[in-house]
Amino acid sequence: MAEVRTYRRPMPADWWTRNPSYVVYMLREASAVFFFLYALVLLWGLNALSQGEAAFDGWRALLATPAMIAFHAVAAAFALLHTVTWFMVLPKTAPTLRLGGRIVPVAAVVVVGVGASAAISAFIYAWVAGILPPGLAEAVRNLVPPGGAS
Amino acid sequence: MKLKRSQEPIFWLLFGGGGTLAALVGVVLIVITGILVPAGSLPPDTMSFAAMHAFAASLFGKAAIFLVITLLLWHGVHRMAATAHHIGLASAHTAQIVLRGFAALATAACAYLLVGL
Amino acid sequence: MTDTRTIRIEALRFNPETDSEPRLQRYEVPFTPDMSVLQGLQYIKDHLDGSLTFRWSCRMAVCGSCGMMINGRPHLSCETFLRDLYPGPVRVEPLDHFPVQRDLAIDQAGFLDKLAAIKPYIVSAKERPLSEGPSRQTPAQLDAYYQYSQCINCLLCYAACPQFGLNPDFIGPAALSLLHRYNLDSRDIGWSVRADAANADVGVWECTVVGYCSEVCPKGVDPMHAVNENKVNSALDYLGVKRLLGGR
Repeated sequence: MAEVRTYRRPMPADWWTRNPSYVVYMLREASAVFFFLYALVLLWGLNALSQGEAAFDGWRALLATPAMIAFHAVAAAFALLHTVTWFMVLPKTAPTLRLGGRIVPVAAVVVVGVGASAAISAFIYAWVAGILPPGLAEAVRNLVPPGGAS
Repeated sequence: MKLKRSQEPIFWLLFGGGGTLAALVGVVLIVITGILVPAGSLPPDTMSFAAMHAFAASLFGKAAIFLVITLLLWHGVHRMAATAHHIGLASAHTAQIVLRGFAALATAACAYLLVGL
Repeated sequence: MTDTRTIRIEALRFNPETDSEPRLQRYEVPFTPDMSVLQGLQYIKDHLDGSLTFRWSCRMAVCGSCGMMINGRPHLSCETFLRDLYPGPVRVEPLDHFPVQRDLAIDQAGFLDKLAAIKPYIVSAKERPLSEGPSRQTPAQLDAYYQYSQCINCLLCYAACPQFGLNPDFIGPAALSLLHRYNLDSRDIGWSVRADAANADVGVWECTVVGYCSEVCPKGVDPMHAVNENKVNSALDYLGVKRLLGGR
């Protein structure tokens, strides 16, 4: 049989701008860039920490510049987008969740996941700010010597 | 059809671990270390040299710092490699080699720094 | 009839024997409120231009032949109505990411190879003689795969998948959904039969969870779920613990 001649249309480089579903996808993926950069900021801080107090204070002074605070504000917004979208995708990696014979809607998973994230966040904030309830504070002190959190 | 086994699972597990960690603590960590502490909204010794040095000296502190930095990196490079391919910056393969190579180096550096503290 | 209006349909034309690249051709098509885009194309073929080529068969979203890009989105043309697109114009093009054979008809050969690669049939542990009667399934066993069995191979999900656009070798959403459909069937051996396809670099690992495939499916299949559930299965298989942790 003769080979059928076909025309293959090239994929335009801006394909992801042509459909709202693709734009939302790319925004979700963009959160990864901010986590990557944030991890590098922390690694840089760790390096400063290992070099002594002067280097570490230099790193902290840099964090206090308006540009770095602005970066972290944008990063926090993308991290929030990541939290929500992560729990939207997570149930797709497991067999269909059923509770009492009924399919658990994705929205319920998102509410539980974001709720868990909020609870952990509240705990970490309270720990760092030194406002944990006495019982919890005692338990944390047994795990981590006094001095603060990362 | 020729089917060749993919080596992605190992990177995907790192991506997934980092993504879950990021979903649970990403926002709060960025807000604390990047906004509240630099803006002076938390007790002044929160991220002082002495406090952080003590934290990084504890076993829990080392583990927490290592997991946060490295898993966020591996999570980040996984999606960034796909995006680089999507917007035509590089082939999927090239993007993976460059970004994963970088993440591996950064992971080693992180471990080295933590062992020294 | 009083409720006849006219709408412009712009169709992509490509003749492999004479054209080096496609072009758009415009047709003014009279339509009534009950007419689908497919019926608009049939009007063109019957009354305006007999050379316009497109595939169709059932006219009721069952056969999966008439998928095309309508105003840049993948749809079945039989269940997309001209009245909803009025005043138009309506741009019709062959499904994205596929080689164009002629006008609106795409080359499906690559998909058929992929379909064969995932073994789209029940593979049972042992031959069942007819005398044993039908294989019975409980409603729960049917529920486990029913959604995925609704796939009609219309290929809208491939037109929705940029990963397939960037790598034509990707086995893709529909074939991987059908892989999952047979793995989940209680009459089938399950994972091990189709593991090589799922584990392949052109298998589930090519997916980056864009998720648009599941949005455009006209039959309510969720390919994004099938593919990503099998990333977990493939990862467990990779680590050698798939059998330990069970599952199909």
